[in-house]
Amino acid sequence: MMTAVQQAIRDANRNTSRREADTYSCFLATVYTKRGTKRGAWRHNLTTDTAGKTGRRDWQANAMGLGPSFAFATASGAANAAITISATTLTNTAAAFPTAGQGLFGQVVCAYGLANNSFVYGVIVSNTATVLTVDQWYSVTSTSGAAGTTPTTSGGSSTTGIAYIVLPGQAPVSWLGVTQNAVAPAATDTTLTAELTTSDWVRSVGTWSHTTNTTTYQHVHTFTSTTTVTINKEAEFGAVNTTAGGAMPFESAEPNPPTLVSGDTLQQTCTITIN
Amino acid sequence: MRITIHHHKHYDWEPLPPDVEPTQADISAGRVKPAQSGKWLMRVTKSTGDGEHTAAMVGENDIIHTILRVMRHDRIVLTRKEAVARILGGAVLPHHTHRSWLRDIEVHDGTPEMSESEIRAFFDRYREAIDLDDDDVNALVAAYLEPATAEHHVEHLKRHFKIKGAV
Repeated sequence: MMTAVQQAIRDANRNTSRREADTYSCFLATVYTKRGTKRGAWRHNLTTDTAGKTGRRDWQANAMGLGPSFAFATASGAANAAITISATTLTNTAAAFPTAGQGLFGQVVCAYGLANNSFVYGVIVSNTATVLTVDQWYSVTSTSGAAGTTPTTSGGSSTTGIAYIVLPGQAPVSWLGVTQNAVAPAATDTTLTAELTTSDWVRSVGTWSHTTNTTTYQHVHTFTSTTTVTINKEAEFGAVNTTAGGAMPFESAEPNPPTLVSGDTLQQTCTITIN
Repeated sequence: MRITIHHHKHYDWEPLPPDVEPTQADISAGRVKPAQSGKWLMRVTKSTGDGEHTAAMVGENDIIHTILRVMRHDRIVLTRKEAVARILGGAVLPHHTHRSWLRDIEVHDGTPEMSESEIRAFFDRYREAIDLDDDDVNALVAAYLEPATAEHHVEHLKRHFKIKGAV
């Protein structure tokens, strides 16, 4: 006998476990040693579903569907004395940036310094009513997420100050971070515990690819180690470093954690199914 | 570096029917990948006619680490053009299409992203790990900075993947 829709709804209401994701990733680690190549096995991922800004569902809803903050009065600012900039902040003392809920988390702000003719963008990781904090100011021509030249605030006038615009949607999730921490991943994770931050293992932007009208896209990230490390988990992020944090929609444990010695290369392939 | 790869057939990834179990040989051959909850995706071949293509953004980070990897393993100094071809052939195409199905390649922005001082500092950081001496670093820097326009990359990739009409 078929279950009525209302019965199915009642059953689902009682079920506290989360429905499986239709957007998910799978990971493959390949290690290149001096002697040859050790290809790992493809493994199932864990798609984070924390109720909050770092989880996959919120990131995806904002990225695909515009997001809640795209046309407020101070979403852009022409250069004037109220607007100043630092290495990781943009301040507009005359602004009223939205702060309710997740605020402007994950949105991209573009800034232009008229004094030094520098155009950059940053991923907003937190904000108050007057200050946007970004992960870094990015070079607009870098495919590896390199930092750009911070625009100069020179007098803050309409000819030498800072102009900016906050874009709708969300920054992409394209950074991969790794950790030696072996605690099993959980869907409620919002960070990668003990993420490696040494210069050879800092988060990296990979090579992105997608074939028209297919169900997946792929990231490939390459690291070369200068020490001996055992990689136990990886995750994809929406910001450049651990200080900024960023969205973390996809996380994966290594079933056979590879140990790399100095000089070994890890190539991490992530396939994201968007179906 | 933005690369558009035109082909006449491509792979897509569809759910494996529930009554089918992949073998270790299937997994090793890359015919299946994990989906969710123990399920699998299988690699299928599709053709959508003219206009089908794979778009790729090859990251500079992957280029420079591929150059390091090949230097360490084979003691071969790769140019950026050669590194890009290795990344496409080894890491990108196997997921999307077979190299024999390629029809054409377009490249946008071929020039190195890092300055001489930046790329030298990068290789210097790996002197001990990769066993690089001064001559090695100089050769790697020169190869990385070898002038190459988008057209040069296209010529090289067409030759590398044996695409009809290659120079």
